[in-house]
Amino acid sequence: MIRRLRWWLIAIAVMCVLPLFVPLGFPVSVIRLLVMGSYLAIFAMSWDMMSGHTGYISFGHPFLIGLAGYVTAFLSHQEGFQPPHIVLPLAVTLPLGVAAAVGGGMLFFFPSMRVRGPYFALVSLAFMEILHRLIIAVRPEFTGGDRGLPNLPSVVMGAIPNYYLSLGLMFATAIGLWYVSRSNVGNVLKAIRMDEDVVEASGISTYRFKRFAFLLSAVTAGLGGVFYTHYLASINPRRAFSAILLLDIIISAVIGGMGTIVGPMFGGYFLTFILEYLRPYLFGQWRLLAYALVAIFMVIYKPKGFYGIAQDVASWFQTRKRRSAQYGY
Amino acid sequence: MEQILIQGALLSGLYALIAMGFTMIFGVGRVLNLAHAGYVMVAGYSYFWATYMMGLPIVAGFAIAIAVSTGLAVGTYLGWVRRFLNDPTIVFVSTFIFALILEHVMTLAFFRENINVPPIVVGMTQVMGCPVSNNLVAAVIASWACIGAVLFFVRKTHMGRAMRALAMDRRGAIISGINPDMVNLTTWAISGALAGVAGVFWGSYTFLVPSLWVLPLIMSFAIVVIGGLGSIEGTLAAAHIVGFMETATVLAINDKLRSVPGLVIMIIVLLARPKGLFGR
Repeated sequence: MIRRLRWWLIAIAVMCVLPLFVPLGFPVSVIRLLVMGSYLAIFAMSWDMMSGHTGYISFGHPFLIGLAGYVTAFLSHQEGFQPPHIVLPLAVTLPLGVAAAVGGGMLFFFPSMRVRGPYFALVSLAFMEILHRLIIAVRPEFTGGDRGLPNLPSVVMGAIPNYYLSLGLMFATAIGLWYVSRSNVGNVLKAIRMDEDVVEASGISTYRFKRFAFLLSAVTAGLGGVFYTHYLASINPRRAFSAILLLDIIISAVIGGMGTIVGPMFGGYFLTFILEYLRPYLFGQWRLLAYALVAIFMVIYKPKGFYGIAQDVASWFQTRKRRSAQYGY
Repeated sequence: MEQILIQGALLSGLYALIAMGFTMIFGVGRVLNLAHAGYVMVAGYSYFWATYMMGLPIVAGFAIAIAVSTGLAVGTYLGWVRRFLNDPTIVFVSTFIFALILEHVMTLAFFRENINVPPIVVGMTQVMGCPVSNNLVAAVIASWACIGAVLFFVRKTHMGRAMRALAMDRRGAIISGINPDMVNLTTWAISGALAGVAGVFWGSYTFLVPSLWVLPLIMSFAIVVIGGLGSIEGTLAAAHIVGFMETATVLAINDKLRSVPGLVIMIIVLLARPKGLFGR
């Protein structure tokens, strides 16, 4: 148990110690970046649980995230132009937001897992677009229309408390999903990705496994969505349902390594940091172009992502060790 | 009412052009090219660049736009898609990123402002008692000419028959001596050219903006799914369903709900009849 969790414990310890160096001159901007990275990592892992494992590529993850974010945002904010309604405390709205993501997902999103391959991707993209349009056009006095809902209350104030909050959330989901991924359930899901008909023919109900993966994914996306919304303290349709967020999620999962949980988690942080640290060298659009180019080369030449690279390196070292033990060179 | 019919006919024609290229690629190669709508956007910009920034004649602008989009399509295929025909996920993700790259490049070249492309054909005519710009009429005629040409090509020529054979039964087609690589390449080139024509007219129909590819992409998805992936006739019919519904929504209900009816139909079709209306 401890042996398997060893690397996780080291990672948690390192990440927890980091803010202690802030008084000694460790930049707070890095802490802020780590918060953003944690949320992107949560989204990427959520995507990975559903799409990376089962092969049902979802282009509609912002649907789940945005739904959770909008529900909690609408119920918890007070000032502004909206019609008067009961303002609920965050302790109530956060679970309601997650419930909305799970419920909405099960109601609309999950039935489309009946169709496979590209069809599923198309339907999920369509759901995202429909929700986007509906939020803009139907009852803008409730949803804020194009402008969204500003001035939301925060869960905790300040960079460092937010850091610990996002970190706790990230590690809890990461370890949970990692265990599922390594269990027999995870193996069944990966088998579905390889050949669903064979899994079905060997007497396993793929429907139930897909439902389980989807539920986990929706819960994770909902959790990430509500806390992310309150961290940013505002939500608007252009950011919540953009192709940019969708691509960030997919690219961080893909460059990290699909179907591994650890890979997408790393990918989330990597993407956040690379985008930020390229800022002084390449400005504006050049930065986005560079990152898209890196992503496409990664997809084409290293489809297994960083996780695959790490495995290659590890196996190279092992072979060398074995060879030197055997032949002495 | 007349407005809905005329605008709808135009929009349907453009959608049909875009979606046909999309569906042909899927039919022959079993992969989806998400960068397809990106070619449409780039073609619109190259037409604008050739005619209004370089001052070339309209015909040259057309030729350049079509050449650019065909080149991009062939480049995508030869560049990496050919190696991943048996891994649709990689093609899916990589072409989506490629569309984003095209958007960034166009933003760098032409900035993020809306560019109004002057009409290709000037003047107005009266159709059914309401004024229509000649530009719209030209777009409808051009798109139907292209559709007719593609249908003729697919039905009557040797290469067209090879395409249909590959779409029906890949292994059988290969056994009977069809070179799938060559057919694939031709299909990508044709779909690129169709995207080029669509792009020129799309630019003059609305305006050019680097994020122009997202909406056409989603809508051509919907059309292709409604009609049945890989079926050209189905795509034509579905393009008209979606095009007219969208125009009616925009003109009669709310501009912001533009894409919703088509997507709702798509979801219903997909859950009730996943093969699509004309799918096999």
